[in-house]
Amino acid sequence: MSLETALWFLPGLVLGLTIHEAAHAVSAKWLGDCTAERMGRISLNPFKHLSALGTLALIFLGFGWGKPVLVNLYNFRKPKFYYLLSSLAGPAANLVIAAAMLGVLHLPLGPLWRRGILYAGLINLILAVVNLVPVPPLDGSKIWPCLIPGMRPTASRRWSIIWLVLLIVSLKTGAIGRLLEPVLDFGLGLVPRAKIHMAPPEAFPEILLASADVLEAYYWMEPEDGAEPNEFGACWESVEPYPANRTISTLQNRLAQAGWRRLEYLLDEPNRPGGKEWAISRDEEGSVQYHRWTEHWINDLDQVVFIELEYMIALGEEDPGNELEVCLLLLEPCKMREELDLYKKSRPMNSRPLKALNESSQGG
Amino acid sequence: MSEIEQRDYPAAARWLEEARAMDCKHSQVLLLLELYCGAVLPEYDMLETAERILSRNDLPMNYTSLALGVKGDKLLEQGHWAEAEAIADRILVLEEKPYARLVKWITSLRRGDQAEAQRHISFTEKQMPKPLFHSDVAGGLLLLGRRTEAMEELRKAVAAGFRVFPTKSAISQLATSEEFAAYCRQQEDGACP
Repeated sequence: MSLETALWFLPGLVLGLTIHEAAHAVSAKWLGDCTAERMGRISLNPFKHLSALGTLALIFLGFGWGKPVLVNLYNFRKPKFYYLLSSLAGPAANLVIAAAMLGVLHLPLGPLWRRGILYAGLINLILAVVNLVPVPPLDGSKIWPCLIPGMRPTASRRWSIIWLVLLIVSLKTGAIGRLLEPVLDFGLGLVPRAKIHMAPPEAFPEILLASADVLEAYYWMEPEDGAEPNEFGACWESVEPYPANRTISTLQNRLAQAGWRRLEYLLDEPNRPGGKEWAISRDEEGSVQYHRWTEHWINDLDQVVFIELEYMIALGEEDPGNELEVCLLLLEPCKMREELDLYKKSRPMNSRPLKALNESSQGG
Repeated sequence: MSEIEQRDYPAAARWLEEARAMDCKHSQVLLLLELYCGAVLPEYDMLETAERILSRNDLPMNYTSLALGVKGDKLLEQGHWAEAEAIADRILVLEEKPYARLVKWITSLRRGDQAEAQRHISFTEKQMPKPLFHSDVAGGLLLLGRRTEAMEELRKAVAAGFRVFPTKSAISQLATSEEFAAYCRQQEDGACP
């Protein structure tokens, strides 16, 4: 994650952590325990809730937490149930914030506001989900003992260091990331009026420039037919006839010709287009497909929220075309649709992506 | 709290009164100090302090837990077995606390439920340092009127390094008594306070 992206997430994160912890305190008070209130935790002052250790962890480990809210379970009339409620209050508050933020996106806002609000919504969605992971110091560790009959609600307080190490390992191995991916997809799916549209590459610059708020863009390339993969371990060699350079340079040429200057920036990325992460899969007919992920964030186009690029090089007997498919997830699809309509009028409908575009437009 | 650690209770009490006079910010800490002083000094009443802690709903969990332990202890001394057991149950639903297990052990023994008593004492033994474990077991046996067994446990506690300190508790009074000293002298190892 770039520093700029992190800074975009920061306001939403501070807001989310503050309200999360305050929600624990308020709910505990409602349920009969005023310990957190006496400790000044019913407050919207972020400094009352930020933990030094949690903030350091955020900087160095990529995740963090707020200062835990102390709850005295003896003050609850139904300790297990009320502890469950007060533990759920934090993630619930984050979900409410996320929903509110995504709701605000319905309002006519400028691109910067829209971007900030979107990021605040997404980080709160992440906070809600990550906190449900059943590992101390996260709320999930307090929730699951409350749900298991016969287990003490304080059970997870034991072996806290082991839990923390487990959490760090699961972060580093990408287990948490895999958990978050569908959550983010779900969140993006809630972005108002966002729809996926298909368009051939020639249309992309026009669409991009015409659209006020591009949220995400996916590309995948299908190379010429005739190339056969050898084996799993030799996938790089197998796709050498269609190296990433060529794929991207095709894209570069096409888009640069259309006047989209930002592509040079993408190509100048020192780590691209080497592509370290390769995945292989087979489709229903048994054709092998190689996937290579690349990701770019474009920050200095005013109207762009962010763009994520995904190249998929598919090698298969069934794929005769050498076509570039572009998939755009837009915040303002109406504008895009107008552009696409214009495009369709000027181009023959003879390619598979174009057919998909046609179906998508009709369906949307 | 260092005065408590050094068992200088009069100094702790002086510090407590000064802190009260200064209207200190974290006044809840004084309640704990008062509770500890109540174990030794006649001017402080442990049960009354525990009741004050229990009447509040804004103190950390360890305060309530400790106060419940004190109350359970006092109820046992007064022979209110069922009420003491209810308090222990209330603690054990939420936390694993050796003193709650001890109360359960005592009440189980009194009912004649040896298996249940054994279950609780096994938990306690694992969680407590040996000297403290034996002295607490001795205290429990004393409450049950099993004086000789209590003295034997107390002797084991002393042999394990338990430092006898004069408090208001019955076990402390037994530990400093001539009767216990005589009992120790009768034993082979002669471990005495």
